[in-house]
Amino acid sequence: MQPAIPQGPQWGQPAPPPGYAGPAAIDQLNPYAPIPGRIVVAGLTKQFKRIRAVDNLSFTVEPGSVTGFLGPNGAGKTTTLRMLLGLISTTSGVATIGGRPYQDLGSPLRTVGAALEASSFHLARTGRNHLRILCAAGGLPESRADQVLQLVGMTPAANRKVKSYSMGMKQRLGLAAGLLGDPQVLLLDEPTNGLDPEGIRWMRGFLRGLAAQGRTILVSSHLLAEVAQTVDDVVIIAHGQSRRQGKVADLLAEAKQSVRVRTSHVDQLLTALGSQAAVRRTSATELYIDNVTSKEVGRIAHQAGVEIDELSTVQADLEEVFLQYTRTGAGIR
Amino acid sequence: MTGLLRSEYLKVVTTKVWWVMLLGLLGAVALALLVNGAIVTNEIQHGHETQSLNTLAGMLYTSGQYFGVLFAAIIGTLLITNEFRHQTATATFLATPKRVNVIVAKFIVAVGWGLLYALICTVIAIPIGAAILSGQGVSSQLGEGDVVKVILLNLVAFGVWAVLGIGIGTLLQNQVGSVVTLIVAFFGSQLVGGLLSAAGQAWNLDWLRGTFYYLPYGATQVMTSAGKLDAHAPAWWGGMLLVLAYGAIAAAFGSWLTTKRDIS
Ligand SMILES: Nc1ncnc2c1ncn2[C@@H]1O[C@H](COP(=O)(O)OP(=O)(O)O)[C@@H](O)[C@H]1O
Ligand SMILES: [Mg+2]
Repeated sequence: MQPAIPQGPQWGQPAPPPGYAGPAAIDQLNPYAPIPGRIVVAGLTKQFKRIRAVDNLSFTVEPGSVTGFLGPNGAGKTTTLRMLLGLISTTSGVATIGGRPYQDLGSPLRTVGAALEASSFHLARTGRNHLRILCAAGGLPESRADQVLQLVGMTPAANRKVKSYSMGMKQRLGLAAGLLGDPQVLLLDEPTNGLDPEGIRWMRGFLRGLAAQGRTILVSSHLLAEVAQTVDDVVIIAHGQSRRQGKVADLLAEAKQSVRVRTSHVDQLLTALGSQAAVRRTSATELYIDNVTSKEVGRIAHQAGVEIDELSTVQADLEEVFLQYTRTGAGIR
Repeated sequence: MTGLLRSEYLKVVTTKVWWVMLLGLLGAVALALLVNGAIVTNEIQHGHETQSLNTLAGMLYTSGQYFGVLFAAIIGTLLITNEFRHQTATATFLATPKRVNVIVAKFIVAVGWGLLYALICTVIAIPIGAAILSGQGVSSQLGEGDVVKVILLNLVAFGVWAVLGIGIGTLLQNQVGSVVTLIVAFFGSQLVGGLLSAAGQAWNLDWLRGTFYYLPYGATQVMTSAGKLDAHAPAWWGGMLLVLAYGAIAAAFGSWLTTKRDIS
């Protein structure tokens, strides 16, 4: 169940016409239909001088959904996002938001927010001044600068120069810049890059909060595990080409699962499981069993009368699934 | 557009380059008044045969122009190259995807800054210059149309150089490269122009003699001098058209390039 799709003037989008049946109805007719807040990438290609960074890529992001845009370094994620934002010209194909190229959005900051890099600030300027400059250019009240700084927890550092900021603080400032216009659509390029574990946890929580507000989010990462908890859908690319698209749940189901069992009667349980089960004994009281469900293990233990202290499912290697789609020889081009 | 202008204005005042430049400018005005004062005093005491009083007064009242136009150009260049050096171009063009508007706003703000610098120079140079003249028993010449024209065109010169600075910045993008190019072009064009003019003199080639006055700084001098500097120099309005043409070409080409470029 997706959260309700916000529409109307507060998102900087025109209100839907009377009789508008919502995205689902139009979906069936045309997946590329221009719906407010829908991101459409169709046949998108970018040929740099020698490298085809993005190669006939197509995908859509539905309003209100959170999509992970995944691919190894150099796969073409940043180039795709920059084409969506009108920063890089397209060689061919379309990249639109709400049916329009970024350049044609009436007030872009109110419609789309982007956080692309943690390095794009003037080091001698304060974080607050960076945002005030953007407010002025985007036709937003300068008070928005202080509001978004508060939102990302940067108020204490607002009047310090960017050169004194840590990586995590720069990521937060970038995010704050993207939120200035309170946009419905957010494009985030590897927002957890360079963050320490605490920063990563903060960022994940923050993104979940934004998603819960019903915003459309396209977040790129080179790690599936990084975003697996946050996103509904994934678009996996490698060498600029689409490799896999779908629900993250389907992808997770492909990951090899293990069941972890703790019991003081390990030997009894081993006998009950039989010889064909792939079992790893990791300590005197702990077992990992591959390719079974915890329900099944529980049933076997129950039938054998083995008392179990703990039974849990472990996502063995999510990255293995990811690699399976993206591994195609050299990653660096 | 007012929002964009404010944005570009904030970009200048939220770092300290502009007042470091201003300090340099004040130094330049002081130095120029010292040198020009000495020259003018000397000329008047020797009966100002080579140059008219108007020319001498104009020289005094435009003191600081020599380095001032360079500073105006550098402010213009920084306004654009900062965007690439610090990669703020991304945020800038996200807020204003119609890139031409950003460039136009930068031109306006840079010209404004050039005019501000010019006004500061002029406000200092006029009373001191007038005092120097009256010290020699000569009137201030401020009632003379030619002198007033020179003072006003001096303001134009600062503005045009600011535009030239942006033009070079949009062309080269690289900050250090642009500033170095400006400085080399500024002094180099005087050197090369001077050499070519001298060569024209030596070989009696009339078309070569005026070269100096057709290059950007020479043309600026032509525009901001009362009376003809040299037999081979164009008239003041010719100098003005040249300077404006240099500014316009740099501006147009630079703007076009900026709208085409990938920002990555
Ligand atoms: N401006 C550019 N000029 C030439 N090649 C580029 C440019 N930008 C990116 N590339 C190349 O395009 C490919 C995709 O880069 P990028 O989109 O940054 O990948 P990702 O963000 O997925 O790591 C890489 O091989 C990169 O080297
Ligand atoms: Mg990238």
